[in-house]
Amino acid sequence: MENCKEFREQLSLYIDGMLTQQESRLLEEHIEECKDCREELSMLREMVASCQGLEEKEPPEYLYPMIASSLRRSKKRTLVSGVRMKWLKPGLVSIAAVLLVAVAVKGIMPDIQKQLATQDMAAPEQAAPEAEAPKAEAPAEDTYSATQNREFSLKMMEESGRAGMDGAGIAGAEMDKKEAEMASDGGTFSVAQAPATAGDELIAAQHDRKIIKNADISLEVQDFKNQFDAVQRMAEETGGYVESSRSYIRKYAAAGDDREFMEGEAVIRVPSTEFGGCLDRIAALGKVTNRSTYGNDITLRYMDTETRLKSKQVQQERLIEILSKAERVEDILNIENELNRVRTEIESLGTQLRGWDNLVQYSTIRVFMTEVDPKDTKVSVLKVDNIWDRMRRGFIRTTNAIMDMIEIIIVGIGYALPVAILAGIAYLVWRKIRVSKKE
Amino acid sequence: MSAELELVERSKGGDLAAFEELVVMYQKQIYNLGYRMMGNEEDACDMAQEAFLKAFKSIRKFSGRSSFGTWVYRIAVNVCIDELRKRKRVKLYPVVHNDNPEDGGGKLITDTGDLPEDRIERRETREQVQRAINRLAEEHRVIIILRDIQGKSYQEIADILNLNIGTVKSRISRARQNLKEELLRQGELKPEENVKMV
Repeated sequence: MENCKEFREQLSLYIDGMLTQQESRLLEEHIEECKDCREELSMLREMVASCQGLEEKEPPEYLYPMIASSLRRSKKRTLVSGVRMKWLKPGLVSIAAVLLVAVAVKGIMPDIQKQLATQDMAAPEQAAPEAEAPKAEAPAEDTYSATQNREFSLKMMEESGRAGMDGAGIAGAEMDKKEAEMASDGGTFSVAQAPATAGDELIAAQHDRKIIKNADISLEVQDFKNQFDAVQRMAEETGGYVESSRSYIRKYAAAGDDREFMEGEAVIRVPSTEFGGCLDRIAALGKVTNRSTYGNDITLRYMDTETRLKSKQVQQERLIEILSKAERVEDILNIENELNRVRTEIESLGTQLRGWDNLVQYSTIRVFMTEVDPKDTKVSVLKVDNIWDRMRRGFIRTTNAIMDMIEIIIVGIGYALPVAILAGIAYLVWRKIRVSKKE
Repeated sequence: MSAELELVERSKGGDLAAFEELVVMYQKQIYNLGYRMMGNEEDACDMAQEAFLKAFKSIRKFSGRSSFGTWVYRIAVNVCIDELRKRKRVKLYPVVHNDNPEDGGGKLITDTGDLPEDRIERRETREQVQRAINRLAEEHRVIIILRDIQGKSYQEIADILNLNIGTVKSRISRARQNLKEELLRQGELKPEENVKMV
């Protein structure tokens, strides 16, 4: 009985099968004899069984969403701080380094400083039109009239040069025809090869200039429905068409009350002759927030393609001719294969040219239209335009001020240095004299 | 297992979706641990959330020496014990006198075909056991939950609680002893011989 205590402590392990074989055997022998321990064991067993009877509970439905959202929130936070830790420090260090280098360059090397100064002078001139472009509407028109002017002058050139070039062209064509008859294999040659070497600009002059004109225009209007319709009507009135258009409602929940505004985007194609006029009329529909025109001169590419097309056509004719003379089946098959290939190429070149024709004939105007509240129109536009500009100017100004200050400090040290050296020497001398006097 | 490791690796790289899969895998176990530790559904949810959040934040510190499950368990156990101690300090201890334990417990038995009386009796037993567990000291409560309710092995428990096997053995023994006494006091566990003798 006296060793019951020891066995009692082993009961728990015995239930779990954690005793060694020998320990188990000893315990079992003891239990046979000891009623108390037997009782204790059965109680423990019962208790453990009722614990095991506690079933696993299903977590409530909201548990997972709750965990997931808290994870997401924490991830955002760690991301922000991660970015801070990762980029802020090196960022600051590199900015400081750049400033230091700039100061060093500016302060130590006057020659380079001069050069930098002249570059600084030149830079604003280049930057100025860029900065003004989004603000002003006039430059966009200027660009366009410039292209028109160029077109006009090229036409003049064409007129004056035609007499001479016509002769050459005919001669070239005749020569090519002969060559075509003479050539026996499928070598490529081009009708316009001779003139092509005479200078691209001149040949281009012989053609009408092929210019694809595009414009993007953003408008703020007060009466969206009518104005948006007007744009589409305009396309049809001028003999063009609406390529695509879509409009949608934008919910604007500011200052408590929900307001709905319309927004829309329409792509219209108008005959290129109507391009400028059309653009002006669209611009008059509302407040223009952005307007850009860009022309793409494809004359040379167009001509290249045209030339290739012509040469392929010649090749095709010749192949047909050879085919009529061919007698061996093998030859006939080979020639037909070649003919097929050439035909496919002719088709694809033709398609490309027709596509270009369409692009040149019809200019594309992309209109973005936004509905605004009457009172909103001026303020918002002015603000947005200014903020960027002001920010940029502010940034440059502050940076310059900092640079100047650092410069002044360094230069100041330079000024002070000789004086300080002299003063130091003077002090040393004076002390020596004093010491020697005392002696 | 390798799939789990892969998820862990991806989580270390900040892949939230991977970690969420791990949450799905372990949320039930962790929730149940919390439920038994805290004694009610609400606290169990809060605790599970807290545990997974901590795990996610420190996933990079997870070395892979133990399994991910063990690691999350350790975090969850610590979260529970911290919370319980905090409550003790401010004398907010709703767990001990839980008026509404095992509220959903009875609903879960649907297919046993027990007589209603049996069911009620069983449910009462469960309530009493849970109440007795809630009266145990935290370290004993944890060990009873891990061993007898969740059926973890001694080695697993040692890993989760960061104890050596010897300590686990004696602590399980001690905890069961205390639980037995607690149940005896409640009159749930009646020593048969004594009853006969009386």
